Amino acid sequence: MTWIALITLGGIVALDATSLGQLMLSRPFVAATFAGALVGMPLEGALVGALLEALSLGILPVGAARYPDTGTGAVAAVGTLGLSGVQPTAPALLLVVVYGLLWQRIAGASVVGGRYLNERLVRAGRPGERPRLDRLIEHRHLESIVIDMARGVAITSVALLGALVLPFALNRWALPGIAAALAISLATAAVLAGTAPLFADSRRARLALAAGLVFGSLLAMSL
Amino acid sequence: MKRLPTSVRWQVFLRSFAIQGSWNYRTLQGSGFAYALMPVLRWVYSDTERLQDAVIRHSTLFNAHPYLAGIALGAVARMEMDGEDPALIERFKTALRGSLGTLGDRIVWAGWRPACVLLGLVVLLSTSSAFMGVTSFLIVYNAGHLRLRWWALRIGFDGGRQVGELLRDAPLTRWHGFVVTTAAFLLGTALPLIAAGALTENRLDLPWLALPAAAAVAGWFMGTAARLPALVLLAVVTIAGFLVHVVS
Repeated sequence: MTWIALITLGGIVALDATSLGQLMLSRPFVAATFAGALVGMPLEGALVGALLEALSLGILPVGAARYPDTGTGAVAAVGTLGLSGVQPTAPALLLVVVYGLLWQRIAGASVVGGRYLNERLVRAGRPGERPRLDRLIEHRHLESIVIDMARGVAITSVALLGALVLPFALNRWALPGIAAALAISLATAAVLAGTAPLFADSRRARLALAAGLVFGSLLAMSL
Repeated sequence: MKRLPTSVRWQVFLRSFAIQGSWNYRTLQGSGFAYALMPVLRWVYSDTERLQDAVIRHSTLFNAHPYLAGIALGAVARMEMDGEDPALIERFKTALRGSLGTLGDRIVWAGWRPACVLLGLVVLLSTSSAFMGVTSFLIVYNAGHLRLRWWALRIGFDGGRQVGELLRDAPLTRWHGFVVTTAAFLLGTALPLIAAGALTENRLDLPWLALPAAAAVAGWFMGTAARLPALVLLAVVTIAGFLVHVVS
């Protein structure tokens, strides 16, 4: 049942990314938390999602740009972690984050494939079928949406097979936990700081950033 | 002036959520635009032949930010109702689509969305509550999102071909300034929490903390280009873990 719930979530998340809604259920942070709730580890899911979120915050879906499908990758990462039954230690988080990043790329490539398919679908609904072109356009449009959901379901189904491999891989990963934690902190801190130019483009924003750094440091010391 | 029935307005609003449903590299959002506008076209053109012509005209190339596409949908709906020349409507759509894309990318994708994500992350990392983190993000983000979509459609309907003037007077730029300043504060708050290892169970002590702090400074100077070396680092450490096992 959990597996079915996860692949359904994968389909919903794939839809939300572009085709329908864009309510941001497809943000890695949200998708991973929902996936975590389904496998009984919402906090761990949220933390993996936060990691993937930090790594993808600077990706902007501008125009016809090709970008990774971050939500589907997040469901794959957390679903794999939960179904595998391994403890969410720093090495396990590192492995599932890398696994999630890989599936973000694969799912992103499938989005491009889906768009070429849409092109053929929409082109098929042209002059020859003129009598009720309005109905045809609606039909083809809804068909494209269903295909996009099926794409998400298929990608998630295959990605979750990683749960069979994760315990085996974790037993063969031999660096100390601090190395994994440090790699995660270094990578996320660098990428997150790299998004600063998006916001800190004025004196007022730079002051706000500095105030945030002080506040965040105090918060980090108090937790 | 004819008034569009409320039910038709609502249909266009709901369909605008699926405007990218058949996004493709030839017409981009073109067929999605026709799909969203269909209730208006059916209401305006009772004659099937004229309806088919209108559908063909509106399923050509179009692209805009999905949240602001409502401005074009509303304005085009008004122009169709007013019986404007189809060539003029086509030129109007062409003129509008570029600016709606740029404006939406700037205020939503590069402003509102990252600001709300950072809010969610800060709530998650400071409360250790997944529920609080995600719900704070979803509620705040979608309050702005839904408001923006409805506003966009409304000023489109109200303004018609004059919608550019309403858009110029809209407080979007002022609002964007406030959002990015808030995002900068939230980014500053999130960075020390993440650098200290709040995302894993291994909290980093002071000597180790210098490394993520240095990485954050490097990231600041590299901008979005920092993503590639960060991903390479994660891949290298992952592979190194397996190699160490093989060697030992």
